[in-house]
Amino acid sequence: MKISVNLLRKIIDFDWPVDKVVERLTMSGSEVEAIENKGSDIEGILAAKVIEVSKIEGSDKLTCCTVFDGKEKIDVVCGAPNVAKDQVVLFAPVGSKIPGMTLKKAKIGGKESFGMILSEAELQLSDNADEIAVLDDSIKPGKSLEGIVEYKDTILELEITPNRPDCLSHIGIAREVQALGGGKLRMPDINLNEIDKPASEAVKIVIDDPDGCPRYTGRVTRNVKIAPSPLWLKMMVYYLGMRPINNVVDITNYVMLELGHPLHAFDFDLFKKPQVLVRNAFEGEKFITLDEVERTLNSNHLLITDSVSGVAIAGIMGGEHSEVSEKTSHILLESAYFDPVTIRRGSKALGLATESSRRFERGADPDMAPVANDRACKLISEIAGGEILKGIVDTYPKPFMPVEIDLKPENVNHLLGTDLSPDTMCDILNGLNINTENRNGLKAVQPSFRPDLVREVDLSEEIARIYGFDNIPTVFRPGGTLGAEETKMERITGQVRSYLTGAGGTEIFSLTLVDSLLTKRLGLLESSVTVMNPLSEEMAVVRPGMLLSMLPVIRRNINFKEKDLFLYEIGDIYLLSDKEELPPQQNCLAIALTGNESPVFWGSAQRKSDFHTIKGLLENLADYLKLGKINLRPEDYFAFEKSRSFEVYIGDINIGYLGSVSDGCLSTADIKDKVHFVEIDMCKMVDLIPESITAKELDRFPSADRDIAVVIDENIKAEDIRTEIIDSSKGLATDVLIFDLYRGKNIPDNKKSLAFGIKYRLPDRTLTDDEVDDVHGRIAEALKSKFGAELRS
Amino acid sequence: MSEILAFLKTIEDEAKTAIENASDKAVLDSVIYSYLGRKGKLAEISRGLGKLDPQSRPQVGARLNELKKRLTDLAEKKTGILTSTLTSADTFDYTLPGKRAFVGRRHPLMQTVDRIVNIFRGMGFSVATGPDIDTEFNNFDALNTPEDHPARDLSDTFYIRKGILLRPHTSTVQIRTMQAQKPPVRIISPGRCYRSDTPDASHSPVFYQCEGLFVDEHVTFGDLKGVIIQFAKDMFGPRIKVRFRPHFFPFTEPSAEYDFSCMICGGNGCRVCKNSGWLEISGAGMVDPEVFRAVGYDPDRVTGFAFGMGVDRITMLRYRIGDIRLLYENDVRFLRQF
Ligand SMILES: [Zn+2]
Repeated sequence: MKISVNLLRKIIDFDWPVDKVVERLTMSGSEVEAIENKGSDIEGILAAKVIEVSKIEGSDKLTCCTVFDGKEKIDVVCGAPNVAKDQVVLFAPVGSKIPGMTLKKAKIGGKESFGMILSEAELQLSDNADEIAVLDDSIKPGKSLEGIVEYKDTILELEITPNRPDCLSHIGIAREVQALGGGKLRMPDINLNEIDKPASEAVKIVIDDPDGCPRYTGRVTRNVKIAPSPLWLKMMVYYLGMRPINNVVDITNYVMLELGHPLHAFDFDLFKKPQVLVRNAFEGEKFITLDEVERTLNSNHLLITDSVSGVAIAGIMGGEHSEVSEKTSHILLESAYFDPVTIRRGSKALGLATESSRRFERGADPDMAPVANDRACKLISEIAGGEILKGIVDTYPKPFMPVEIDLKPENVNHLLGTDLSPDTMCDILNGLNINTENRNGLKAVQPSFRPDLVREVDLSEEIARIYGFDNIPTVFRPGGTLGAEETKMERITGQVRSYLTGAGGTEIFSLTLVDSLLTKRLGLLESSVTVMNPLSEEMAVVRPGMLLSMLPVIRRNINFKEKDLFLYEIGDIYLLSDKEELPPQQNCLAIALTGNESPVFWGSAQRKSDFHTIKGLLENLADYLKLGKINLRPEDYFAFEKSRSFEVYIGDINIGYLGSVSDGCLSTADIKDKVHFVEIDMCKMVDLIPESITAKELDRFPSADRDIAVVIDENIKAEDIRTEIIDSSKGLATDVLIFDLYRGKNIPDNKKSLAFGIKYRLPDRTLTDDEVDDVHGRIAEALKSKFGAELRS
Repeated sequence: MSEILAFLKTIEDEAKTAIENASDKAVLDSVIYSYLGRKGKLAEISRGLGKLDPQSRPQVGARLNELKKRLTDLAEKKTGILTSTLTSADTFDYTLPGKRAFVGRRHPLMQTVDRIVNIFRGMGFSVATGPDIDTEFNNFDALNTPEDHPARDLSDTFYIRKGILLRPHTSTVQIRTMQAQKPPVRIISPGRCYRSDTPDASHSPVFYQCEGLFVDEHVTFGDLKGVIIQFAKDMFGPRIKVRFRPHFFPFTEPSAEYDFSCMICGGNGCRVCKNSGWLEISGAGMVDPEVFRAVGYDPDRVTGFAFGMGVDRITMLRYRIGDIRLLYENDVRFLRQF
């Protein structure tokens, strides 16, 4: 909402400088978002009379004019088509300033020009750039622009919250200034000179839908003269962000900006019957609005008709047919109150929001309707002439019923943490023109311009914001321990992040809305939660797996030549479920590796990350978290290579999957490098982590360390051999490490050699050599018989 | 034969290391003597060649000669270095980079979440979470949002289906917590939120919010101010000022927007704060009685306040990040800075 400080000062006397107005309005809830200083770059402009106009040869546009500025005659070249002898015009002499330039002597069309005859647009007084501004003949040449129009103004751009329709007007803001102690509000003059003929004989008003239109007032004015508005009116309407049209339309807009009440002027001669009928539109009824667009209405739209056909969509926009034009002489001025919900729905259905609809849908003031009508008619009769018929035709089937609100001062103080007296509260509310009495608690009556005030708490807010949030004492409470403990989930999540960051991982935070095409190509679309109204197909699926948001991140980084990646994320995935109302959400850890395992080093070559790198990383993490031993069980997962696709188990519990991303999946994601990936269900993992750690006693006797190397068939898994070693050692082998895998020379085809380092140990004494020889031999035998292993020395 | 060749390799590695590491001429001489001398290791192996089978003898002999030559060359080079004026400190290049592993990083947004959580935990708030996808009731109805409020529109909010949507705020968690628990309640709820905003420098359709809720008997607007001011000082330093401006939200009354004094210009005015000296942070207010009624709390017995904050916005201010998209693109060149 744009507020003119000049106009505001006409409604309320206040001696605050502009910056104080800005500060007080901002801090009481009408935030000033921008301040525009109008006319600050204009200097030395005055009225001048055109005394001679002659064509410049060789130019069809330019004329050479002589103007009289009250003291002397000045030659000036003018390009405007409407310049004519005897006009009083706005003149910028050499040395004067207009926005963007200082006037200098110039040569135009071969003629010397000592200044400029100005258009309104050149002074930014309106948008009219096509012709020069022509002033009233009565203005004397030499009169300064300051004396002609109050063009120096400050325009404040206010952010008005949706609960405050009353503040979409100068009177509303004036009321705020009044409450804040700036002065006393006074209503603009609405004393009319009416002729004797009663308006009620000229027009009837019938309301078919009193819920949609609780009040409709009309006034009739005869024999008006439609013309451009006087400069001050054009300028004010333009300063406040609207386009000047003609005197009557500008007046309706001016009054709306002044008093907040939307008005509409009809060319009453174009009414087929002198009767307004407010009714619901028919489903599919066509109506051409004054912007020359044919609109299709529905039965919830409220239509203003002349009892034969439509003349306006109520509260939204008037019709083209009955629009005020140069030919208009009789005017019906509508000032009505329409139901907010009806207007909001109507405006939305049409996709048409106007200054009028914006005010009605938030809630206009039903009691302002006749006042605004009077005010506009007064201005019309002053500016456009005309005779105002006697009386206002006011149909008010559903009068406004104010809510009476009881306010307990102690409740207000209790909510705000203040110690305000009932009198202070009473004064604040009355300052806002909320009639309040202090008798046995406060009794307040809801004003018709404040649809938002119906409860005690609503008034508490009014008191708080006018008293000033800054003045409410700030309380610093001691922290306390109210349920602020860290959950196991939070604690472990922190540990996972620390571990992985320490291990060299980069934490990412990716969008949970992922590409539907990628999801589809990976065969997951049918089993994914999708957005009904996505912004784009790239963000249409709520991710069903962490890989879907991880792959695009990897691709992006590789594209920027960042090929060695160790990325991790703890986030959520969303599953499709028929059984539950909401799609189940699962908190997951994802880790992805690609490129080299470590940074480039001058002393040795780099190694690529591979399946065993990611497996080792997970094993390390499990070890760090005391999660227990990681077991992999082969399982086809859509994204992984067949031989490198596993479910991750701790004991019998599946906590996720791990593998190397398949070439097919990588090419779908447009990635050329190998990617190794693991996803772990955080909840399942956290459940498996012991709550506490009990320290174990250390081994007091040294172990006996022996190695064993066996040649076995390629299809035998290392883990099976290792398990056998432990099992057949009868508890003596406490640690078994695989330290070598060898294929090649001296090893037959389809065989491999595996070497194990074994620590034999007893808790209570040192083992003898014989005992160690014995168990080591037993193990060798067992491996031979079970796996056909051949010992290698 | 492979054993003897492997053995030669071991000897070569040992000898090379010993020569390289020799710190002066005397040590080097003794190394040369022990490998290349008449009674040195190579001579010893050479003498043992006779025991090999005649077929492999020439091959091993040739390898032995090669090795002898390589070690002799190396020793000469080293002798040159040691007898020159260069000391071992001169020749040891400590400026070569160390053997490094990749350096891990925490995402700046997550670092900020951690910081926020720690600050509020210190004030007695615990962390509550809830699902990203939630009901229209928890998102709007329970929060006193009118039936035809624009926030419910398809143009503002992502829906999964009718009545089920991607939450535009984490206020859902407040509702869920109050439904599950009797007062007093003191929680914060950090989490992802969704709004149908086309991505640009200050908007992301997925973003990160943290809301707070404090309900008890005798909670006042003064307490709300205290908590926000304490947070501001902990997060951005003791010089930060906070101001509260009246505003409107359907779920709080009185409602406020709160601003922090601009930490970039110290409140003097700059481009970031549009010369106002203030940066708009988010909204707050006293919980509307209608919200208490919706969750079964008695508005005559308890009062409370709620506040929100954009964790992305806090992160951007904290690290002077100019474009929100950087937070969600996960470019490691960006992440490496934190
Ligand atoms: Zn600043």
